[in-house]
Amino acid sequence: MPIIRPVLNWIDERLRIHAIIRATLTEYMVPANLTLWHTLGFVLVTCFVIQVVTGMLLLVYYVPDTGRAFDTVKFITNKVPYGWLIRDLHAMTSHVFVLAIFLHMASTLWMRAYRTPRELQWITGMILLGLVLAAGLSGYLLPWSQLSYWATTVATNAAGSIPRIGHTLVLWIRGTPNVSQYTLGRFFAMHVSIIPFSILAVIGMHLLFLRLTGIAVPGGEDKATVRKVPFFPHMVTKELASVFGTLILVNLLIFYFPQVNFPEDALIPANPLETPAHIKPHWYFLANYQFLKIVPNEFLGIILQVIVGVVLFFLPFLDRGKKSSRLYDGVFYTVVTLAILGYIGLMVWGYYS
Amino acid sequence: MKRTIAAICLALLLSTAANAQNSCYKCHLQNEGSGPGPAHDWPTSIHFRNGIACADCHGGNPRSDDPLVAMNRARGFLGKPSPTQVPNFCGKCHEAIRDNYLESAHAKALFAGVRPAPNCVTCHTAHRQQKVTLDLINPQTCGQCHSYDRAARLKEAMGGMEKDLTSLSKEERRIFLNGIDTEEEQKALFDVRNRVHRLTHVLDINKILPELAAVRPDLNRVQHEVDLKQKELEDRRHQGNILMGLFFVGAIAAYATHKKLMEPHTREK
Repeated sequence: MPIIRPVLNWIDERLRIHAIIRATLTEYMVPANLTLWHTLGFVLVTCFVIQVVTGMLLLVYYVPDTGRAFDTVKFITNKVPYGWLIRDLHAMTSHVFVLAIFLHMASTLWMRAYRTPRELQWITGMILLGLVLAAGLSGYLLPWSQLSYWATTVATNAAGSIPRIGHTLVLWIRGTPNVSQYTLGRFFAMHVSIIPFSILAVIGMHLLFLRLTGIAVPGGEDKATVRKVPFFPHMVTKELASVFGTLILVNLLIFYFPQVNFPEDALIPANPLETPAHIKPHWYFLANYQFLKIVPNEFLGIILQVIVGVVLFFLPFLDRGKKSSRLYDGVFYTVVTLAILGYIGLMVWGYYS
Repeated sequence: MKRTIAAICLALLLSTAANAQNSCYKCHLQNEGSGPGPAHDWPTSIHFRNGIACADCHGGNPRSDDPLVAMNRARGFLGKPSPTQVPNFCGKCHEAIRDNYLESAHAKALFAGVRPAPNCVTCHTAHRQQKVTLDLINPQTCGQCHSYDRAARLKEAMGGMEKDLTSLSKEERRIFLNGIDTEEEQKALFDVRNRVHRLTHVLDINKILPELAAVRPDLNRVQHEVDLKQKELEDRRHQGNILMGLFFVGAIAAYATHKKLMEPHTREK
């Protein structure tokens, strides 16, 4: 069509789309030796897009009212054509989202890719981790099932162990002394607006910092001499393979392991008068849950976890030892290995406890 | 299994908490010493596990430690029922079963003054009741009063229906746990199960067989609904398998393309 090219040129003159494509894709050079671990960022962006799209579709029918929330979710999963798929995609992708961000952070930690000049990438990554976990926690309550209600009650109760301000803090989080309509309203607002927009903004910053500092070269090769390839199509194809792998994992969870997100208590409407037998958080909070159980004082347990979080947050400013020092590296990797194993151990312990 | 144990533990915990404020349990346990007696039996009962307290059946005031207040007949304490009072005692909650029982030969014998004649606790015990299955009809239980042959015929007549009910309940539950709503089927099954189970108290095989035949179409309807939902679940899985297959092909194609693109760079090395 002869008219299309002039129109595209007209748009391009004003928006410089071709230049942007060249700068971000075809002429954006990345190290040729990037591994599958480096594709996790792309996987995370894909998860976020799935969450936003499915979340918007769920909003068409969902009503954040304690009297209707469970029924609207039931309606979505049983009456709306492919509503079950949309809901399951949203729920199961949230697990893969958290898993991918854990792995992304762990691989960054292992490769020590947070060191100068990438401190801000690490910090924005830590903020993203917090936001994704907050999205998981707030989304947990929305179906207003037995699991939603009681898991939120237990999770928000933890804040009550803080001396002096604990009670006020719990009241501030819940809106009322018990989990109620006010809590649902707050969590809904956080889940569908505050948290996703914050995630979007922080992803933007994270990617901006990535472009400004460049990707950390694996294997300690020199940044100036390492062989490079265009991001598109060379790296994008690898990222796509990871994305397809992620989608297979999400589908496996949906079709073969629904109980990962929907144990029996998640299928029963909330009843504030009936505490279920065994309420446990999702797997990604199990380590924290178990830690609070084994530390004799709940407040101490929270403080210790906050300290670990703060240390991790400021890690780029703490890990300034010379990379070439064998002793330092040995200590570093021993601590990291023990920390990761300890975290997994607590998670498994929490599951079986 | 773990879940069941956990559920029982929590129920025990909750019930223990409830019974901690229950002066009946505390005093009777103390009076019984090392037992045996109702207070010792009570924690093994399904009633106890479901949070039912002594006062729910016997009346009285479980909040008072004073026996005169706690067991004040003027304030509704009923005490231990006589054998003929037992059917109405249990029938406060198990209404339909009481009505069936009252039509039975067991009840007729009881009210005609035949001794021993069975009431509810003869078979179910007074304080050690468990979830009932047809296995309760056995030579030991029935043989307390008469020979087992008639009871065996009754058990056989109901066995097929019970087996179908159990298997359908399992199917329904599996579908429910896969996220498909089965509320209607659960209600229908509950109704059918009740209609069947209350027949165990009629004891007249000539009445039981037509009733079972009348229940069968309803059970078949539930079976049909469950089958449809089972098919839906299978269809979903097929669609999921197709999707996963496509993603797998996509992953292989993308990775192969990546490898192909990287070939010149690998050769350079």
